[in-house]
Amino acid sequence: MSRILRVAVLPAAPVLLPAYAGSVDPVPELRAACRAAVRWLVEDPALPVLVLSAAPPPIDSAACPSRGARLASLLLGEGGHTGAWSEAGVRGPVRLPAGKDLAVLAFADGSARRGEKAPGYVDERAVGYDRAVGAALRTGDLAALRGLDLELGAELLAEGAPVLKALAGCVEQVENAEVGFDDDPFGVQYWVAQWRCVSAD
Amino acid sequence: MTLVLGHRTFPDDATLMMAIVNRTPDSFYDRGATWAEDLAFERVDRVVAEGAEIVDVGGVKAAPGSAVDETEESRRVVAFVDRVRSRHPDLVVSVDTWRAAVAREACAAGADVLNDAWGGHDPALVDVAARFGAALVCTHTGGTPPRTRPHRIEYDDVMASVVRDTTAYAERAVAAGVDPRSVLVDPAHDFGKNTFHSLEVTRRLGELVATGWPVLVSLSNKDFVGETLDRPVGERLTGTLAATAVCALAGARVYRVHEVTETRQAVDMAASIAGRRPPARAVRGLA
Repeated sequence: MSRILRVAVLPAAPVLLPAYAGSVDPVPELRAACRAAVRWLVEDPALPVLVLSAAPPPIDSAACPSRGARLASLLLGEGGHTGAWSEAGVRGPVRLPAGKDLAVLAFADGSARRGEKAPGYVDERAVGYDRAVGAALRTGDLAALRGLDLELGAELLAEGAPVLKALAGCVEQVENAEVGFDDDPFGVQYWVAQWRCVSAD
Repeated sequence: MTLVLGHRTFPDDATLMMAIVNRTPDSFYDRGATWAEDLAFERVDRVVAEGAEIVDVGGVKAAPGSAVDETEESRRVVAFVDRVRSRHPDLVVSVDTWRAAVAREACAAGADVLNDAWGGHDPALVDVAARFGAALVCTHTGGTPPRTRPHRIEYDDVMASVVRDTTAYAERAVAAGVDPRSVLVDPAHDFGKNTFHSLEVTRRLGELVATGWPVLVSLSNKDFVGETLDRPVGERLTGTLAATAVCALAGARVYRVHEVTETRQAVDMAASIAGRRPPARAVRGLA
């Protein structure tokens, strides 16, 4: 039986990737929050990291690593993680590596339809949807995340919806939850959340 | 290749200015400056005086915003096309639409070009162009639907996608009966692209020119210029002209622009550097 001991939830935002870096970082606070969360996630180097992401592959690309894998590679590297990590898809139930304690790095964000300048323009349901997801992340409310409406999530361009639902499906209990970043600087809802799920003792 | 744009024919070394005329209250650059029909008409007069060969009349802003249905789009565009056609018989009139129904009415009113910024989203548009003998601009959007912004789109090779999709669209148009001399391709900066994609497309524009299809570029004051230079709308002319010069050097034929005079100078300068255009008047060291 695998046990998930720690979870970090970060945005799947391409703006974090070095391939898209300008000379000024447009998201310094978000980046700092992501780095802090990943440092915490990998405090125990013996804990393998499972990466969850729903990011689609680039157009025409079979070989390019997923955006989730690229973000994980960047942030785990910056966080000094030298141990193992692997990526799991979230289209079906997540298969956890058997018999291991794990840390999970989940790339999940909220709606991209939170304003006129947002990538997906305005959808009036976006704020309510994100408020509910944000509350579930802050309280570790697994039932709420397991019940996420994926169709609504897709309509709201909430790329993280299937990730959060899959994550909640494989975590047993959240002992402590914190959200260190909660903002929508470009009309896309970002959270950086940390969950301690099962006592490491 | 000789370019046939409706009732006008242009030789293969001609570069053309396509001036943007918005019949919209909410387009990003002019923010409704030509929403009133008479003001739009005055802009047509002005850009013609500045030397524009083409006007591109649009009734729907490209970005998301208030819904504009076919009826409303036609109301904004069709009578205006008719009025411009009457006043400026030599001018090439283009209509910026992705909808076949609107295109049909616009062509009946005298439009010469259908500028489909959304990459053939309406499959019947090619049939309208064929039926009316109109030219067609085939753009690349990476599959993004009309009036959406790119969100996290990535490509294995953006230029390969541009070349493949625009030439496929061009060939589909020719197969539908559009005169091959009346088909242009447009990589569509910012459409389905982040700033890095648009910069790469600019850098590699020669690959699209090499397909042999005449290339139209629409660079004017766009976000990729703004993001590259960190300039808001209204302060992007210099960057626009730099990108324009790069495209001109690569061999782009048609330039969809807000500022006609400045763009014409940038294009002519680049064309002369490329050896495709003689200087206007050269006496230095020659007297």
